[in-house]
Amino acid sequence: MMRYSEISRDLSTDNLRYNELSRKPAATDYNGYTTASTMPVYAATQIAAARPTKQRSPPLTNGNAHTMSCIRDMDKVKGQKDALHAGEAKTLNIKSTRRKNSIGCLNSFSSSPDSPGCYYSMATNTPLPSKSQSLPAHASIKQLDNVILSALRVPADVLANQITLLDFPVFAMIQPDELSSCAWTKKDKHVVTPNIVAFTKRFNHTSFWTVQEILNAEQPKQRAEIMTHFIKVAKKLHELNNLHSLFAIISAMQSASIYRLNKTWACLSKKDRQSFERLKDIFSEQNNWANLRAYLESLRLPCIPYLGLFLTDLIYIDLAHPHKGGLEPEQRRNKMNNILRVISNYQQSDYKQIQPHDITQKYLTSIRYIEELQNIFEEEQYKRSLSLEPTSPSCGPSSSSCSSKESFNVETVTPALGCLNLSPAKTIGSMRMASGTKFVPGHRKCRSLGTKFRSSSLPRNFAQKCQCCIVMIAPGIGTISNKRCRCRRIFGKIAPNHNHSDVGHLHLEHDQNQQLPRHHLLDDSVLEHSDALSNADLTSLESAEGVLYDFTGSDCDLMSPEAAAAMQGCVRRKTVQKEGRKPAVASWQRYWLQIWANSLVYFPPKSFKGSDRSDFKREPCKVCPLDGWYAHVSDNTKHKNTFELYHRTLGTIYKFRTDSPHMTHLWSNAICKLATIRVPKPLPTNLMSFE
Amino acid sequence: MSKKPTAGPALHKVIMVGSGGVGKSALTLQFMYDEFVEDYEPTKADSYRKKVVLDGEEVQIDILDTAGQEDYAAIRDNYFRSGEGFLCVFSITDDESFQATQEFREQILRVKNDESIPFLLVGNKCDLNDKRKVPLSECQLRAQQWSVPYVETSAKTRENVDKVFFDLMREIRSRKTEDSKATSGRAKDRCKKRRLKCTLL
Repeated sequence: MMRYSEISRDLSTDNLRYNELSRKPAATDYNGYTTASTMPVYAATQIAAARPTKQRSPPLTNGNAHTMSCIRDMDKVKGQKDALHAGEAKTLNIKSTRRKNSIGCLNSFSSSPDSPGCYYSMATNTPLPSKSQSLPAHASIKQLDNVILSALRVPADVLANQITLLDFPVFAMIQPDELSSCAWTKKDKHVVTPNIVAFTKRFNHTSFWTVQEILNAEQPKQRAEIMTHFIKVAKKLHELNNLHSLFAIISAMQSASIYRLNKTWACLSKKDRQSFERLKDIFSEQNNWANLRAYLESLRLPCIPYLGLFLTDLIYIDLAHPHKGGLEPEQRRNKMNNILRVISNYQQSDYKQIQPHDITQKYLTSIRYIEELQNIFEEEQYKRSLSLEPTSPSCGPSSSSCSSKESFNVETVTPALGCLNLSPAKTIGSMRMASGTKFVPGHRKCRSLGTKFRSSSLPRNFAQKCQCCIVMIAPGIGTISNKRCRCRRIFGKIAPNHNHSDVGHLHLEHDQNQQLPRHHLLDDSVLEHSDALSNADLTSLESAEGVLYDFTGSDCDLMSPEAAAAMQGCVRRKTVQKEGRKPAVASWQRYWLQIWANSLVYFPPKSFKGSDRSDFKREPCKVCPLDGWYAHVSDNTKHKNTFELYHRTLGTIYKFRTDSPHMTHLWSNAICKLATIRVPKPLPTNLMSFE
Repeated sequence: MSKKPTAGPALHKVIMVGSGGVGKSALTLQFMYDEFVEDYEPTKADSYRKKVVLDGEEVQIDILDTAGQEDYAAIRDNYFRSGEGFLCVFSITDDESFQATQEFREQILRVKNDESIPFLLVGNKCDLNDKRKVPLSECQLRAQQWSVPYVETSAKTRENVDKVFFDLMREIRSRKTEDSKATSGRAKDRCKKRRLKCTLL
């Protein structure tokens, strides 16, 4: 609970900071925005000049706010009120969002992965040649086609302050008559209760803006960044006792479009999530909004309450004690007056200590929100949310590269996914930890693997279906360098002559019966693993590079299915063609790729640099069964390390880039090995010549 | 989401949805207070919670009605999420309110992600049959399309008021027993998923 004394102190410090800002070049930045907003095309140099000194990171782009800006442009340029037209323009702009999306994210974040504080850089939409993380920070600014301002560009406290300044006059305008009329739900609300309507609109406006800003970002990580920013704004609003806009932001984050973005929520820090939960609890509807009521009671001015609560109370009082002409019933009058008094008291709030900041206010008010189109907006946002993170639990956040076909196919391997989350990737983490703490992973680990495996409610034919699931669980750690031999050794011990699927099956049986051989087997393997982890091998485990010299071309052709199944490493992927059509925009996306069962599993990057396993998330974002896919090393001389993965019937082609030609061949080979167990496939000419 | 009462009667969370002025709050008040509406105190924590006997079993109903806040569009998703059953109310004298039910339904399904969520379509103000704007057949057709029951009520005459709440509670109850029977039911999975989100490192 916040004390009043704290508020004023915070406000004054905030004020100081704020003044500081306006004296500093940051002001120029904002001025830059004014110019820019009236003149969308803006020279790069000017922006560079206008960039504030406060900014810590190299300046870069972020294409976040274009939808917003477009809506704003629309507002600005046309000033039209034609609803249809507005809707049209919006759809168009959402399309253009798609095109620009690839721009900012990686670079702006890679430039300052852990300094979310630098919000002052101007938004510049620059076409980037590629998303490659090795790109120098400045390399991308070649031309600028637009300059816009997004929420991220304004510090959270400035936003909260200015939102409050915009909210308060509207709130203060609300007349007692409007409230006692209970007419804000009626058809003539615009006439009888114009200020209540206007105030409600501010709520929806703030909420809409929050959702839109979050959805503008293409990658979960970016979205999380924006969310974090809004949580900061919310915290500041909380300090300012602006419960109205605080609830607007909290609601936005719980709206259907945002709530479902699991990948994004997962990127939030624990601290921010806790802050959010705490703020959210204030507005719990439980026990007749008991938390909110108690909280309001405890507050002192200044405060902008969430009016909706009072509106409901008034409606109920009106209903319980109807005024049927004549003298107003006493109970009704008393209860109504109680509420009116409370509200009028809040209207005495004084936020004069906050300095208005025209540029920010202009930004905030320029966001076009048409109440009547609210449903359409919401629908659009939901669609956008679905495309960003498709509903399928296994499908990843990058909509552009995840086809519906893929996500559909994924269903067939979902049972495997349960253990996947827990096994290969996590094994690495725990193993690494184990090696550090000298903990010898023994039975406990085996058993836990076993239980997890069992617990995932496998179908009866699972063993056949996922031919190498067990193989993967055990040797999923480490990279191919030592993997192959180890796999052979391990599995050689128990099933030297078994074919692959038999091995899997056998293990499964053992596992289910909790018999000793399984434990022996895994003990062995574990011992070997710890050997492997003990010394220099640890580094090779961390990195997929530089560990392949012991492989020759012929060697990889002879790769055992086990080894193929255990392939993993850092790759980049680009969509060449999807369902027979070329994508409008294709960029290289970095993934930790792993073959698991007969599927390719993609792990999204954690950061924007690095090719170690630890640079990628532990949760996979995509799982694509390999059935029907071909891989071949592309003949393209320009990119030596690429291979293509294509589907004969789907007409989808992906290009993959690895770190070395060796790796490329290993990958294409491994994929062919697994994908073509049923489908015989002619060897690509290139591969033949390689041999 | 909602805290399960550790002991005591089962709690069923009912949510009233519908456009402004269709009589959601009137239905709620009628059901909650009947003729003792004078006792109603809007700010009390248990103002919308009531113990009732449902088929011989004592249960608690918790009604969330945001009457008056209809225009606060953004808050809907979140309180829909907390609901176990929905009374989707329109006024038979107002076609617009009937049309709006379509959107409410979609929104609820989107949030709950469950086609068979306990749900009743309620045509209120049936005492004003002479001013009826929405033909009965149309209402029934819509209910049929959604495969939900359709009931006409009058908060004024109290016709069918108890019925809609009790019918809905029965649906919620049978739904809950179903869910608890299916140990690896969908609902549970969903819960798990949600929780997973918070436990990720």
